Amino acid sequence: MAGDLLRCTWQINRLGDNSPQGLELSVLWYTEGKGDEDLTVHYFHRWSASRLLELDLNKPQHFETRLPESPLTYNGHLFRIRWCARMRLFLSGGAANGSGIVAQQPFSVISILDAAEEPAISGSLAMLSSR
Amino acid sequence: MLRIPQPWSKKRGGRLAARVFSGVVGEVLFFVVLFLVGLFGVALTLAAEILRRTEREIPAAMVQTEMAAWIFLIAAIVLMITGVGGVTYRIMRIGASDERRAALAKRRGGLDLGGPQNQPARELPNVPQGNDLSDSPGIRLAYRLPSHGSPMASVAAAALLALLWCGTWVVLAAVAVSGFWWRTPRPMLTFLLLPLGAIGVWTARYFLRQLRESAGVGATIVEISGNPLAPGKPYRLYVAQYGKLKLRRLRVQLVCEEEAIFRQGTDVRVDRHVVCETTIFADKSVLVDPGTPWEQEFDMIVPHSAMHSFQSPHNAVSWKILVAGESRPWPSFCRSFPVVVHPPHAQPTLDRR
Repeated sequence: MAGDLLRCTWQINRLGDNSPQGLELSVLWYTEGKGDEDLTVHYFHRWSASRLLELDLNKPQHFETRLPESPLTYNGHLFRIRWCARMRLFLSGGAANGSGIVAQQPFSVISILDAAEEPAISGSLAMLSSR
Repeated sequence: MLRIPQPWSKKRGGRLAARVFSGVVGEVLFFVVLFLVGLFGVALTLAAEILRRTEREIPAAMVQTEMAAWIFLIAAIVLMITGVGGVTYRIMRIGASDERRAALAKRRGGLDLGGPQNQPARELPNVPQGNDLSDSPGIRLAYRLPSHGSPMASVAAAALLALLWCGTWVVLAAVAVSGFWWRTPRPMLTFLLLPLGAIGVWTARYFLRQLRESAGVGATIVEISGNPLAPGKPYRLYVAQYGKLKLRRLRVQLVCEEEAIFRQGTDVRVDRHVVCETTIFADKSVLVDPGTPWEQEFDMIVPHSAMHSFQSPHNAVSWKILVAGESRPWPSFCRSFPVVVHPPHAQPTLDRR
């Protein structure tokens, strides 16, 4: 629900020979539909390669952020507003064409009036390596 | 079948005809060329100035007045700045994810330059605050709503066009008449006065038609008891129509509209779609006299499941109150009064009936 605390758990498994060069976690909304895409990041955190060495990526990691009161998730005729938690992993050797490997978990931001009608949403941000 | 591209035709198919990377390279090269041209211009101007001060013989191509030198120097510096700015911007976009760029842009945009007193009472990202809608108090209800697309603007534009065109035509006519007077007639100019005069007549008639519509239909006043609006809450609405009208039909509606801006080939297009339309009032054969304007108060409720007002660079959800009338002999009119709808759990609205 808008204004609530969003708690996310993430982990990365089976990296293989690739060493992570950077990791970005973001909570964002974007539009899709007829109009050009708009994207706004609500929460963003980036780990450099040296900082990633301090993390045990195989174990679940957590982050949390308080959601804003707007915009709410919207399914319109010309465009839709989608919220998601997105993880982008950059690997050595330019894997995934330099833009990293992306995993995202969509969720809905609803108003207090709609909260009673919608079930609670849960998901996981788990990423498997390309190998 | 292979289609041969024509330079004068619209680009069809996918929105991107080339690879993104080659586009970035092309842009960077363009800005580099701009910078180099600017640098060449600055160097040329400085060299000419130095040669002038040392009183040596200057090549004829480099001789220029002081004013021309300044203009040339400023243009060259602008080219250099544009080139450096363009290259820097393009290079910054390389190697950063969409989310990182958006986060950086948000951080830059979030810098508070105006002090804490400028902070809104409650932050609602991408929702118009609607403060400009509540700075005009009403007579019957709390707020008088400003009209979107005032008819005075179109009348003023038509007047300006007619004045400029007719003024130019009069000057040209004076030149043509003076030619006959001094026995040096200008037949081409005299001939051109005819089509130019016809266009002048059209601009004058267009201005008179706009003026007639504006004066005949009269002002529309809309006042509301609360601002911003919230879904599910009742509000009072006051509508008054001035002028001398015999309306076949009059409607007052609360309308929610989506707007999407998109690129199609090389064009930027706007598409609109009415999401929901609530008729607040509809009647036939409405009479409006100059002495007694038509006025009524209504109860209005924003639909419970309505989307709040939303504004982003390419997409928007907007709410407005429409007052539309079909009349004779005046043409039909439709006036729009924007309102702002906030999410239901946001700050309580100022309902001051």
